[in-house]
Formats: sequence, C-alpha cells, structure tokens
Amino acid sequence: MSEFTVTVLRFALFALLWLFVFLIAAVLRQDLFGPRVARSRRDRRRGRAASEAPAAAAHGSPPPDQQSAFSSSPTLVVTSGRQNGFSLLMSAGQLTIGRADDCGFVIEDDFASSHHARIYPQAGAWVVEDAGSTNGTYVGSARLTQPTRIEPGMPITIGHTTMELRA
Amino acid sequence: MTMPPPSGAVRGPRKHRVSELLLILLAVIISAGAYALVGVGTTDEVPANVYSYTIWLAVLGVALHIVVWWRASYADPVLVPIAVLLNGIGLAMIYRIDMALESSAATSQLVWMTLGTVLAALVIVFLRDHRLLRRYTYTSGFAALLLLLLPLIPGLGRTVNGARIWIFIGPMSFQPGEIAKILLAIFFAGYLVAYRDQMVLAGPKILGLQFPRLRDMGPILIAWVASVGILVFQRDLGTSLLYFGLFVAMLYVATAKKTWIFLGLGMFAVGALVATQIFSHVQQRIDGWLNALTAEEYNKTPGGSYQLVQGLFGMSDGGLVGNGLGEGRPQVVPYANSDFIFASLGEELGLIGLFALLLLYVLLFERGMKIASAARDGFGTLFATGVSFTIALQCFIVIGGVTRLIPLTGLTTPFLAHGGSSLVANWIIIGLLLRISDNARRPQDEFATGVLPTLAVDEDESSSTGTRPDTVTGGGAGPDHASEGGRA
Repeated sequence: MSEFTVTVLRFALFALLWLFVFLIAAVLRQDLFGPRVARSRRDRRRGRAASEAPAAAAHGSPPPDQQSAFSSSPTLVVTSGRQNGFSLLMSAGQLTIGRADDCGFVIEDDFASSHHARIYPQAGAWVVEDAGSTNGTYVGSARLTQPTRIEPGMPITIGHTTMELRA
Repeated sequence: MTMPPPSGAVRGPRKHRVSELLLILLAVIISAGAYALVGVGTTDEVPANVYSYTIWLAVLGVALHIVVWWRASYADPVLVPIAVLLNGIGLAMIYRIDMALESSAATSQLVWMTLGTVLAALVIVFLRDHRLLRRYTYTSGFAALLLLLLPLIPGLGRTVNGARIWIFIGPMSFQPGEIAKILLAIFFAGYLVAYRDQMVLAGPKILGLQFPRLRDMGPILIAWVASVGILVFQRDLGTSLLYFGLFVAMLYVATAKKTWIFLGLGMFAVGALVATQIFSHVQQRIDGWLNALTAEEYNKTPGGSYQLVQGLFGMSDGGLVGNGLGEGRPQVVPYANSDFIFASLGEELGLIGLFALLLLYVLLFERGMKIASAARDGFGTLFATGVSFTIALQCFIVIGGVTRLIPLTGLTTPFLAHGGSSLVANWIIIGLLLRISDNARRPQDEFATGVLPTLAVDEDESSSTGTRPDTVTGGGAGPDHASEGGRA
C-alpha cells in the first residue's frame, strides 16, 4: 500500500474519531439545552396541528401559548428547598412523593412523610392529593383536605420544599 | 379511578436508542479501522482476521445494545458507544504492541472485553432496580474488605512488581481490588444516604468546621482505613489514592459541605508526606518525577525515570498528528500496552487523537454526573457519582502520571489499557450506570420496577384502611386511598 494511501487513511481515522465525538455532543445537545423550540409562527402552528396527531411532534416542545396540561407531559420542578432545581418529567401514571425509597420522587426533606402526597391526572387536569401526611401538603397557602386540581405554576409545598408543574 | 389522559398525548423523554445503535456501529468501524491501520503500519498488509475481528466487536456492541433496548430502554444512549470505542482503540494499540513484542495480549484483552460486556448485560438483565443494591450496604462493605484481603492469602496471591494485589487461579490472574472499588461505592452510598443528616447536623464544631460524631462516622471510617491500609500494606499506592478520592468525593456529594474537600486534601497531604518518609518506593517515584530528565534518575535501576522519560519522548515524537498507527516505536517503553498505553497512543495518534480520547472520558464523566443528578433517590445519586468519579480520577492519576504532571503510580487507563480486572470492573460500572440512568429517565407510569416492596407502609395501611393494591405502579390513584400513616 502506498505511503500516500496510508496517510489518507490515517487522517480519515482522525476524521471519524472526531465525527464520533461531535455526534455524541449532538445527541447530548438536547439533553443540555432542551429540545429545539419551533422558531417561526408557521412552525408553531404546524407544531400545534401535529400535537393533535399523536405520532407526530416528536421534536420540539409545545408552543408556550398552549394552555392544555396535556399538550405534552409537564415537568415537576422543585423551586425551593434542598433539592432546588430538581425536575421530573410527569406522565400518565401517578407520581408519589415522599421520603420512602419506593416513591416516584424521593423527597429529601425531614418534614415530609414517607409517603406524603401524590399527583395524578384526572379528567384532563392534574390533581394533587395528600396521602395522610403528618405535616400536610399546601397548594399556595391552603392546606389540602381533599384532592385538588392544580394548574402549571401553582406552588405545592411539602415540608420545606416547594415545587410546581411546568407545562 | 383516574381517567388516563388522551393516549399518546403524554410523551416520555426521547430514548435515542437508534442514535445509540448508530454510534455503536461507528465506534466499531473506527476500532476496526485502527486495527487495520496497525496491520498496514507494521507489516504493510491488512491483518487477515480483520473481518472476523470487526464482526466480533460488532456482535458485542449490538448484543449489548439489544439488551439495553430490551431491559433498559430509557438508559443513557452514549455510555455504550463511548465504552466500545475506547475499548476498541485500546485493543488496536495492544495489538500494535503485540506485533512489536510478539506477544498475544490483544487476544486475552478481547476475551476480557467479551466477559466485561456479558457482565454489563447481566447487570442490566438481573438488576431490575439499582435501589436493590442498597439492601446489601454492609454486605458489600464487608465483601470489599474480603476481596482486598484475598491477595494476602499465601498460595493464592502473588507479588508482581513489588505489589501484592493479584490473585492467581490456575492460568487466570485477577486484581480483586477493581471489583472492591464498586462494592465500596455501594457501601459508601448506602451508608451515607442513611446517615448524612446526622453527619451534617450533629457533632462538635472545631475551628469553625462542623465535624460529625464518631459513631456516625465510625463504620465508614473503619471501612476506609481498612481498605486503604490494606492497599498500602500491599504497596498499591495508585489504588489507595483512588479509594481515598472516592471517599472524599462521596462525602462531599452526600453532605454538600466543602469542609470535606479541604479536610480530604489536608489528609492527603499528610498521608503523602508520611508515605514518602516510610516507603522507599514512594520516595523513588517522587525523585523520578521531579528530576526525571537527569542522567542519574534516568539510568537508575530499578525505580528510575527511564519508563516515564521514554514515554515522554514517545509523545513528543508523535507531535500533533502522531507517527501513524504501527509506525512509531512505543514498545520501547516498559508496559507500553498497560500503564503506558496513553503514551503509546500519543506517539502514534498524536495530540489530535489523544484529545479525542480525553474528550470521550470527559463526556463519559459528564454523563455519569448527569445520571447522578437525575436519579430520583439519594442512593442512586451517590452511587452514580461514586462510580463515575472513580473513572475520572483514575484517568487523572494515570494520564497525569504519564504526562509527568503528578508522580507516576500504577493504575490502568479505563477501557484502554491491557488488564482484565480493570476492564471487567469498568464494564460492570457501565452496566450499573445504564441501569441507574434508565430508572432516572423512565416516566412515572413505566417506572414501577416491581422489585421493591412498598415498605412497611403496607402494614400500617392494612391495619387502618385495609389492603391496598400498591403505591408504586400508579394503577389506582383514586380517592380510595386514605391514610398512609403519618410517619414524618
């Protein structure tokens, strides 16, 4: 094999190696910066139409003006407390919150019960329910006595931890 | 009962499984290309077995991919490709040294890689939930100590190059310390997640720093002193440094107190100072590091700086683009295919190649940290931090040593270097990280792994409101749930 060919192949290997690195960076891009948001108005309208059809709209987060809680799965974001910044993607099932290991969201808060509260979808809305906790679950400043509908942005307080749903 | 939301409207996170497959295939192609180029560089012809080699690598990668798809479909998509590529590049380099020294290390490395991927797959298949490991907190701590003691048993252990860290069973040799590393991470994570509050809040304050009470710290201190002590006794300073770093990092992550970092660095400084006074080989290493380029150190045998300096010469000869695979002389350096594989790669792939490899390590570590921060339970967070930190620290210790940033200590470069125990342990770590990331990214309704009982709450429940289906599976979330026992 001629020296020239070998040199070309060597550099081709470099190219592939770096291609690999950049491809990995591309896969992780979404993870770091969030999904690509539809840019133009037309894209946004198309995005809304697509969200009616379940299969489509795999890319792109929903347009911000969309109100329905189910246009995509919302995230539960901790806004204050020890786990500030922690976020969790909600989905069709219920989310149990508590200190016990088997909870969907293991809260690190000494004022939370082992199984403190649960959040689940009901009739097209998200409902939070206290699970018989000792210190109670608060939506806004009201202590929960019964399952309560919540909208994105309403603060839910458990112990010293406050969280909210974000669409 | 709840009404499920409109089907398909709630989407889980993207799984990226196809990206993973494509990346694995690209990794296999790069590895095979490197292997072929080694053949061209050394003997002017492509190795005869390049096709079977490529197919074997692809089978390993794709099989692991299928297992991940089957059992951990939300797992992080880049861990396996990175591991396959690093391993493949390492294999090519080991093969290249084989060609020069007429040894057959590459074959054994391929066997170990096969074993490693099989073990990673087994971890994914049989460990349905990483939280199960928490049950074995103390068992793992104890097992780690036993494993570390194994090489001291006469007849089983043997001293190799002054360090008694190997066990020999028939023709097989193994470093139990590599597996002990994972077990210790389980122990630290399980213990710290249970006791971190006591450790942070209770305890005397000295010089403005909060120290934990001895009884909170006791078990972990015993485990750590014992493991590091054994390693020092066996004269394996690289690994004891690694364990020490693991210990400090996990304490810091568990308690979020910078005290531990300063304390750790202080203890390290004291330990290093004491070690240089007590152990002659530590003093040798430091002399060889500081005065590496003097004739006196270079010509000293044993324990001079010959190896280090030859490695540096090799890397400088490689320059920016390297000599090309198979066209340098990396075999001049002792242990060119294990401890000094990074220098060998530097000679033949150059700075461009080394930086790509370093970036792969950085990305691997970044994924580990990301998995740790996404894990839903404290144990998962601590454990993922621990194991990925060991990979990063190991890279730092080895590559720092080879490039003369820090004194040289014998450790293997993760995935690259020839060495079965390290390779197997790192593949197991990949399996565990895949499992944790799958659990962390899985949406709620799919999250029920079904392996953890709903703890003692069930008993509380049955006494107050009768039996109840389950809390985890998310099936029943109606108003029929009453008290779960106020155990705040």
